[in-house]
Amino acid sequence: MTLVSRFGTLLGLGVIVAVFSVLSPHGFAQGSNLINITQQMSLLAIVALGAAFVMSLSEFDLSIGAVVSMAGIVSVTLFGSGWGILATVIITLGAGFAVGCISGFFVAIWRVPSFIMTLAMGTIVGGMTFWVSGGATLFSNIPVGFRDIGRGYVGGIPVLTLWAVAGTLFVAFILDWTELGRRILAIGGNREAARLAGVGVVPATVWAFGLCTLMAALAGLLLTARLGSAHPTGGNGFLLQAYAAAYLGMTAFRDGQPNAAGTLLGAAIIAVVANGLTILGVPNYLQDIFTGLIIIASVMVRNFGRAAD
Amino acid sequence: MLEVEGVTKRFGGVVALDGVSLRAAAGRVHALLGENGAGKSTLLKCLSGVHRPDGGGMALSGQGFAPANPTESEQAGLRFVHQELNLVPGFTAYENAFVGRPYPRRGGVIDWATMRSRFKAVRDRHGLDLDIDVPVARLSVAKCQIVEILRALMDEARVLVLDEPTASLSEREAATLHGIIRQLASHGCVVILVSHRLDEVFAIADDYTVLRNGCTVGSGQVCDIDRSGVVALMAGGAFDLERVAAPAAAGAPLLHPPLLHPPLLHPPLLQLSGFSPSPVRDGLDLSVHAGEIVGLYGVVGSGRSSLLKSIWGANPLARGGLTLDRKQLPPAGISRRIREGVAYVPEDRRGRGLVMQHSILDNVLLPRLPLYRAMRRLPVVSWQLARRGVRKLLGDRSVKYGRLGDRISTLSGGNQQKIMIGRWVGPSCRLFLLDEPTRGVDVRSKAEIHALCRRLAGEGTAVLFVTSDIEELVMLAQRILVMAHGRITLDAANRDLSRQDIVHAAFETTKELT
Repeated sequence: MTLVSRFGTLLGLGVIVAVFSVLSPHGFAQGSNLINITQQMSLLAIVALGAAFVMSLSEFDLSIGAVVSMAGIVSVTLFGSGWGILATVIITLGAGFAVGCISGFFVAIWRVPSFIMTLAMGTIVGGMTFWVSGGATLFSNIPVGFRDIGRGYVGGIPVLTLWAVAGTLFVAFILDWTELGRRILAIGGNREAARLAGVGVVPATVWAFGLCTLMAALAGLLLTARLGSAHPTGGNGFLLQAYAAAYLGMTAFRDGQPNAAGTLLGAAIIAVVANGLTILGVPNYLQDIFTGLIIIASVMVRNFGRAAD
Repeated sequence: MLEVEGVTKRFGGVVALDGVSLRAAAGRVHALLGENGAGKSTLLKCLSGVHRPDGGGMALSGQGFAPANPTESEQAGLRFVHQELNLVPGFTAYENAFVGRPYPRRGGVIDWATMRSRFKAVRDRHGLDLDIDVPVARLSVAKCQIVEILRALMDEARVLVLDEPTASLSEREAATLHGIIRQLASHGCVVILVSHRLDEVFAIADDYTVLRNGCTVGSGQVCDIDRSGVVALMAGGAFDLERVAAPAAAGAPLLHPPLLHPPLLHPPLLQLSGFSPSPVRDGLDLSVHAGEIVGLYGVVGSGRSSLLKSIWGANPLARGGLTLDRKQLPPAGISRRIREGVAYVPEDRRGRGLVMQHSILDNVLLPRLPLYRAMRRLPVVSWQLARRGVRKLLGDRSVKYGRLGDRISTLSGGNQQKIMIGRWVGPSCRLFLLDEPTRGVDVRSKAEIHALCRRLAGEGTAVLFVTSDIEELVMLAQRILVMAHGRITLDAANRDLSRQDIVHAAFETTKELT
């Protein structure tokens, strides 16, 4: 694999940053704005890093947006009934993990297409979230100590940025340094070959889906901590952007395989484009169009790269 | 009248067809016979326009016939019915018949009534019993086969080629289909029948052509030959001793490797009793001893690969008793087999063996990840240990590669195959299950793989391998098992067998005295 195909996407980010810096030297290129971008991209990065697990399996999980919303509502509801911070965080993450495990179980055992299964799970989770919250934004009884996990700075770096870095290291560790990660990637590459080589397809699949929604639940907690409130559909917008970031990530560093560092890079590209265009005063609808075009371009670059192999 | 004269076809250095000739007359059923790899499939692909012959010629009713693609072959009136069904399960018979064919239209939209009536007319012309209004998913396999044939006959067909049409049918269903085939021929069509069932050939074919190693070795009328004659043609006359004896002089093993452990002295390592890959098939018995190399032979569709896969525990439908070293194992479950020291190498490297887009390193590690842990109890990979271990393993198997991170698809077939086998080799290994261990592999790698099998057996590992290559079978196996129609039809020491015994068993014919 050539240097260009390995680092082309990183180079792309550099070009985008350079263009915005030239167009807006005093708005975009300020150090404070760049640090701000790392904070803006962090939640998206965490959701996308979760999606990288299921993309490594060559599957999809469409429930992640609903799980982000669910985590917020569940945590605020638990705080409201007097639960402590640690217990609330553990229960919320556990609930997120469980959603993915259920999807993974159906996908692995009954070969339900993951697209359909997780669409259904996302709909169910969304309905339950709405039910629990009564459709309202919840913001009472959130402890200050909990809010601190999603706001403020440590050593001049936003806390959320540190979470994104930690998430990247976690996903990189699971995918590249654990047997589970290697098995997930092998199943994604050739399910039958992995099965015949003795890989337990069912447990690995359940784990991958569970870790995916666990990351989404973490993002939901951080979102709630940052905003100080939870809305029953507040996380739904993450779904498509997360896959866009993860897909962009597959074009970077590894030969078309989902990977943690690439996913972080993908989230960065999306965040930089959104931030830069906002600063230049480009309307929102044009931002969406740009983001879509960038995704198409990245897919084509990847396919050309493969054809050249 | 279909004539094939001196057709040759090469793939790289391999000669697949070396002057094949065949003359099939209209109104007659012509059987095309031969062992695995004799060239039948290649010949059919030349007829269907998938391959273009390198030499020789073909003619249809006296006119030159050289299809450049499948469409030209179809326009010339050739129809092919393959062993595997190619039907859309949710479509009815007549909907299936129009897939890939222009739909009748009225006012721009599909004219369903004409579609149905045209198909019904074809069915009635051939006097077949078939419900055309239910989805084919609800029809039996035999009826689906009839749908396939009718689909081929929708337009005027001059040549109908049936490739193993009865392989998946029961005796009774096959008999029905035989009647239909005879009837089709009587309508004036050239019918070419490829079959591994000799009883079928003798029941319905008028003429035959036998291929061996890409050459036509015999042809004539079926009434002028008996089964032994056909088997002798397929197997080749006297076995060519000189060809095999030559490498033996250079230190390679003997033609008929001797049995190492007389079965009575040692209990078998692997013992199947009433074991079957699926509940609808009869169970079979089989045993393999430690240090023994057993070859499992059979024609395509005889059930050998599915048996091997079931022994590996990869088939959830498997039933029956399986003991390994006197320990009873469940009929399915791969991880248990691995813990007991069983290894399996599937056929079809690309589809089922390797993850082609992943690196050499990842592919070697996949079944053996726990061997390369940083700490014994944590499932965390130590890449340093892994790289060192994999380099050594590849060196031992003399695999040629660039870097460990290169995609495994960059390696030659021989090197890929050596990796597939080599990644299982280890001190705990007791039984190797190899499916077509040397298919598509160069001569040198083939010799290395054979040497590895012998070394493993010498160290006490049992080797059970499936092969379609009778030369390989005779060279490598100490004991030979032959399967036909899901049953074991022969189980004997290699040295006691002739080639014809093996072919007889594979085609399930009793040896007749000539």
